[in-house]
Amino acid sequence: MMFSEDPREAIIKYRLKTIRYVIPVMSYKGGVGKTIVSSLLALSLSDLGYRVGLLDLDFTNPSLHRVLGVDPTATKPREEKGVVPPEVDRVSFMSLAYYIGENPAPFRGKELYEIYREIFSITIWGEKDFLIIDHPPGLSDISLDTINLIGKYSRPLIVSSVSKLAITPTINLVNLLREVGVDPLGVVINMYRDDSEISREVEESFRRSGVELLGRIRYDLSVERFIGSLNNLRSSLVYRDVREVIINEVLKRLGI
Amino acid sequence: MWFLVHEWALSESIVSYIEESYRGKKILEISIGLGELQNIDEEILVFSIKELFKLRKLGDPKISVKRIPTKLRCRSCKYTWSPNLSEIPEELIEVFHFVPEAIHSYLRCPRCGSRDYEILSGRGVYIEKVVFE
Repeated sequence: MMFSEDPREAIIKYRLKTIRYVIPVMSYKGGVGKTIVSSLLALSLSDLGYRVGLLDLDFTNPSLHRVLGVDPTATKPREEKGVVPPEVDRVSFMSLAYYIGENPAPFRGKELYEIYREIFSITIWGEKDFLIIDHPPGLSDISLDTINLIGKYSRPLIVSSVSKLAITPTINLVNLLREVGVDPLGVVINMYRDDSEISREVEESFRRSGVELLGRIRYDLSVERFIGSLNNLRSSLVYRDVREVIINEVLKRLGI
Repeated sequence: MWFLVHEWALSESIVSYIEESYRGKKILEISIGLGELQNIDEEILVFSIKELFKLRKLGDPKISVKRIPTKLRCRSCKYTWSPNLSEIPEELIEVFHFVPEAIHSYLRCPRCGSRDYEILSGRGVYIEKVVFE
């Protein structure tokens, strides 16, 4: 018998078996703050005592390591029946950046297809309560692979900003996930400003459309200054909102 | 230690795939294609596959391996070439061993300088053929 299917796809479900909850962090629109939200979700859960993995799937522009303050040329995954991600502040963190460093990473669909399967098939997470997976924006190769290959083992968290341009794409993403039987945890409205009419408008549009709202993360300019320092990030409004609002809603929806 | 390297993880993919696709069949022979760019240790890979077959009580098939040379084609100027891997620094060979596509971050088309090229052959480990009864 000759083959056309990819054997790496067969192992993905076994690699995820040691993880209780897989949370892909996704958005249809770019620039909504997924990377910061993913980092702080992972950090907050770890600070609460959970065992957490964090994976950067933004292969053409990995940047989680910059938020975490990790030099990808100085740290490498350990080779042990696969590769074991290094720990950053108790969070097991995996990224393509360990291999490409800070060099450019121009990939088309074919390359993204290969890297996705390679990373998932060789990464050994071990026993974890949560795996937070940061995604590139949009609904192309990486997000579609996540929906097809790990959608049924996961509960995506959707991030929106307070732009009017984020409303329709966010609702579309939630509906598209539901169409294929993937159950999103809900939508987080990032960069929310109490003094802004648009913030209220965006929130109202989501309520009317019937998407599940997890809560707001307030706009906090200091985050940009704190990138690269987890201790400083812990003092930001964003960390406080993720930990006190978003995490509570996530845990409630997961029945924890 | 042989069984501790990442060839083990690649072997698990192959064995799990065959186990799921041929449930209840006796596997007699497996032909594996091995991309040169990934620099997989053939001996360790065959050992790992055989060990996994034993551990999962799936039998003891004959395993043959064919090495596939690296061929790249530039999407910009259409030039096709095979990089001389012996001239590439050891630390990059190690990087390509884990993720062959990382080559785009380090090597450019020798004719036009583009990083937008395709790996036509030489990446990965794949199953070429399975013989069963």
